[in-house]
Amino acid sequence: MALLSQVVVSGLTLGSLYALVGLGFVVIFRATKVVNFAQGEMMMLGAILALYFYSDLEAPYSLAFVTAVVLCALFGAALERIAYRPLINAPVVTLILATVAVGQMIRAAVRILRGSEVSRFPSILPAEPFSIAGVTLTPLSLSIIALAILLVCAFMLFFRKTRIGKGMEATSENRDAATLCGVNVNRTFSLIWAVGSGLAAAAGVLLAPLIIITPDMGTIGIKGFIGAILGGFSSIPGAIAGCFLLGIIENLGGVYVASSMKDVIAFATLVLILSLKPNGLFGREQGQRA
Amino acid sequence: MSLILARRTAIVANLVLVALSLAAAYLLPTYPLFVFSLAVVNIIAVLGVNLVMGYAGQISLGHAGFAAIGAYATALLVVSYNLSFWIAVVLGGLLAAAFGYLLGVPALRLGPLYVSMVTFGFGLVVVIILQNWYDLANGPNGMAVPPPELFGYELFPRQFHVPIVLIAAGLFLLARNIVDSRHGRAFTAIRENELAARAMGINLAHYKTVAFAVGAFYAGISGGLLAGLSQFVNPDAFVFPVSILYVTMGILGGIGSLAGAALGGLMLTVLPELLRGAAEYKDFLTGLLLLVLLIFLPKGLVGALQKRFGSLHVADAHAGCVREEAGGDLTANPPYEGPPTTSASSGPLLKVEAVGISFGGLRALQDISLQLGANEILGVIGPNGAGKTSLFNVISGMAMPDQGRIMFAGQDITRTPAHARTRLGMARTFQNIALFSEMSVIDNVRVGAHVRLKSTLLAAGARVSSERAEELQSVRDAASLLDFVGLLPYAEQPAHGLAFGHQRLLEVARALASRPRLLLLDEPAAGLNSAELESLVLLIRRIRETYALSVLLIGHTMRLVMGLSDRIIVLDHGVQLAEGSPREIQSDARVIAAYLGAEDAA
Amino acid sequence: MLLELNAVHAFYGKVEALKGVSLRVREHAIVSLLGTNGAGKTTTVRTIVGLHRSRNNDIRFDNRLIGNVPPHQIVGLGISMVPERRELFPDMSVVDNLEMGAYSRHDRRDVRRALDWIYGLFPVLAERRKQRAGALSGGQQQMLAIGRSLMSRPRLLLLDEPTLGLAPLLVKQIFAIVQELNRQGITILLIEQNARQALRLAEYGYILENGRIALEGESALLMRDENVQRSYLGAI
Repeated sequence: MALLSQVVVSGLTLGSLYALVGLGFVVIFRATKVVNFAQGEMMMLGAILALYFYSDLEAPYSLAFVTAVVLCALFGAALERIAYRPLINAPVVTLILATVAVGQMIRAAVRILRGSEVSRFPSILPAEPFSIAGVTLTPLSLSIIALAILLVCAFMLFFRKTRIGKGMEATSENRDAATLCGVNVNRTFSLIWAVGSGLAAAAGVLLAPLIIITPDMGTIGIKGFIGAILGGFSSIPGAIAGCFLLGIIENLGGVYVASSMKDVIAFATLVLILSLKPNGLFGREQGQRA
Repeated sequence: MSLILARRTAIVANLVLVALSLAAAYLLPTYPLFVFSLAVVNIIAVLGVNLVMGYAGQISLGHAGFAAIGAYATALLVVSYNLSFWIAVVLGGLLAAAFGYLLGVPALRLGPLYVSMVTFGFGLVVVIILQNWYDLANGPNGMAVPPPELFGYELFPRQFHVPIVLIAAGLFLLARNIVDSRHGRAFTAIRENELAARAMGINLAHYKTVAFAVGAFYAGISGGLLAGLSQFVNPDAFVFPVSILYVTMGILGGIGSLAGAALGGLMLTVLPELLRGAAEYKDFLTGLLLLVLLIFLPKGLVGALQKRFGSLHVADAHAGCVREEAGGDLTANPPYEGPPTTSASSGPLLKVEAVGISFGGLRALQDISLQLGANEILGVIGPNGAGKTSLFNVISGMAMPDQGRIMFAGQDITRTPAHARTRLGMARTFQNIALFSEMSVIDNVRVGAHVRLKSTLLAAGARVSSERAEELQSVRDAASLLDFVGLLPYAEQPAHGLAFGHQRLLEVARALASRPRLLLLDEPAAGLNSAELESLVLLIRRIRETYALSVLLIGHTMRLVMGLSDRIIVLDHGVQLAEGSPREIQSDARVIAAYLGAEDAA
Repeated sequence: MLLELNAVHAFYGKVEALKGVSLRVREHAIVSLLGTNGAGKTTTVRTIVGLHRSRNNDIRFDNRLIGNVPPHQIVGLGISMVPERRELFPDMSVVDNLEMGAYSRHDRRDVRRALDWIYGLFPVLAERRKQRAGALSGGQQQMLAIGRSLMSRPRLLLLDEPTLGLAPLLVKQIFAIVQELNRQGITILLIEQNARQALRLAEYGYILENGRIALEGESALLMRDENVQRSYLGAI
């Protein structure tokens, strides 16, 4: 039982990070129908930048965090302008491939600049675990979960309550109608890519202390996507729930099956759920036009 | 240059290329020869990617996974079971094909989003499994493969190049044969317009899975040959960047072109070797190249060349050649014979019984019944939102009613899928023109005849004489149809180049190619000017006479509907309002009210 | 003249959908644009709001050329459109949809006053303000679409087939609202297939056929014109 709750907790930790990355995926996908295969690399970039500011430049953690996220957001917007907007009328397949290309370039560029050296993010919190109700936690995992949930909530508030956020949602739901209401759709796309990239970068920064930082760590990002599909892409809350669920399932599988098979379990779960419910666990039938 | 001469020149050029490649085995120093062999092996994989992405229009982000399966299967069969290398390679290819087929299944219902995820996941999972399965082949450490043998002689170092080139040439030929057959046209049709492909009788499920299977087969063979070439297999050779490299090779050369696959494969194997010292740059440059290609050169080098020097489409050239071989005047063909008259059912050809369907909470059709006999033209009209399109979709199989049934030639087809209805004798055109724009005019018509052609994929691949005869006949039939609608001079032009009015005519010719008993015309006159409208009316009358078929016509263009229809049915708000001759309908008060509004404020 | 189109052409690829359309809408009037499906009515209004680029840019609003104004700036000029299939934001609430209509306005109190105005016109929207737009009935969605377009307090309202798919009673209601809006000073260009209803409301009508204005005139005259019937139902 203790083991189970342990697994669930670490699953939630991972799941909360997946939720951040997955949220970025979903925001981008709902507006542009593009699977952003560079999302994981953006996450890695966030971790690397934070490492650089915190470790090499010895900036305070919060400053490193914010700077990394903002830089990645700007980078995402720049990518939209340079690489994706020229392809706005191309078939979706082309755009997907473009994100694949960009992802590969980011990963390779980091490898060129930093080499394949592995790095560890210095610890920022005391490492002694403590117990709550029989479940062992570390301050790190707790703060990660808390921060991730905080960020997700902050984003949801932004998305649902602010004028700009509603403009983004409207653009995702109906581009022409949004234009008629006065929304500058092109600028909104830049914003959407910026937000999606920023969310991924934030996840990367939060993830950094948990794992080894390498140029290849971006592959974790795809889990965020899987989790979002699992929960149902058409609804943001569903996607978030799916990500948390995926974290738990993966960890359970990792413990009870084999740790190296986590990725396989993730994909297998995806295929299983999709064959039963093509719109995800909480998704709705597409095509409900008003 | 006549097309036959052009084709013969191409054949000679290809033979020279193969001869040179073979000669390289004895002319090149060891390392460049190795790179060249590697390029040829990669070309085989890229051919596979091309078939899936370029021809069938699907997306494959995990193609290296199929190569991995082929490589490991080959290695294991040789090492553990002492099988001949060559048999092992073939079996490896078949195993990969099986996986490809299975992967094609999710591609059926799901859009690019899911297919990209599934193929990506596949590529990833294969590598993970191989890296962790120590018992199978040492996991990440890989496994040595003994050099391939032929008739007891070891084929290394130089001689292995020869069978590699020969195998590649054979597979190239196979691909060419497939592309140049009705199956290749079916793939291209799916890529160009899935909806229209279904309407032409193409079974999307079947063809998508077959595309993946064949593409995977090629990758599997490539992997097996790679295992023999490097005498080693390990998972690192098949990671995600390798899949992307294959895709980039395909796009560089020109997706949708076999020559492009060869060009891209060659260039992207050789160039990185020239940058030997900068191995880390390879991934970056590949990514950059892919991005640049996608933005500026989406049709690749071959596409750019075609723009400058005109179309070199293999299929088109072939159609033209066949015309020349057929000897001149195709219009001299005997007039088309009507469809076999069914003696079986003496009842009406089409019977719609109390059909109803809802869309998003709205009752689009309620209790609609109609009948259509042989050789009749029935018009369906009604104001905007009346349900005409819904009725059309229900009859043609694009939507399933929740009430009532549809009988066609005495058979209940209510649940029959759209592509199967074409096989039974229904054909349709589209309101918004759904041609296969990149295909030639004559090939569009030949796709229309898909359901009447019988040759299997294997027969096409092997280019047996019965398949060739069937293809020749399909060209003749198509040309005859084009002549009937007046488009024969444009036969070899790409469909997107036609004027709008001609595009509408092409749609009609394409629909006729399946020799339907019932022709469904969806707003055939939308966008036509007066002169074109008049020609269309005359054409449809001629069609009814010559081909002895029935026509169901939806339209807003009253001159067309009123001028052609024997009978007219009026729909409004999903229900049947009136039925009668054109004259009766025009003076029917209810119909007038439906279109123009009631006389008094109700 | 509040709105003027002078020989406007529009193309879909190679197909000429509008072949030189000219029309005028007097301020404070209701003008009706009629014709069967495919005649070009929707293309005309989409061209006015810039969702479709016209080749000839002679579109004037309040004597100012607007053919080159980017579509998202049109609403700021005082032109609002209710699209043919309503085009709501189905996953957003009623009030969110309405507030999107006021996206170009930054004064919160102004937006609140506009909301009150809309709730006054359409009480059912007030009742369902938190509901998902996609869950409303057809008639309610139409009201929401109209309400959304009014939130920017337009001078000119383009209504593209507002009664499409609605039951006769709702059709009456919608037309009554159109009349009320006009009474409150809004100029209206009404696209309808249902010629008689529209002409009862409008003072002037244009009949589009195959991308051209085939007939035009004062409503009373058009209503009695046999040519109108022929245009819709073909020659007898």
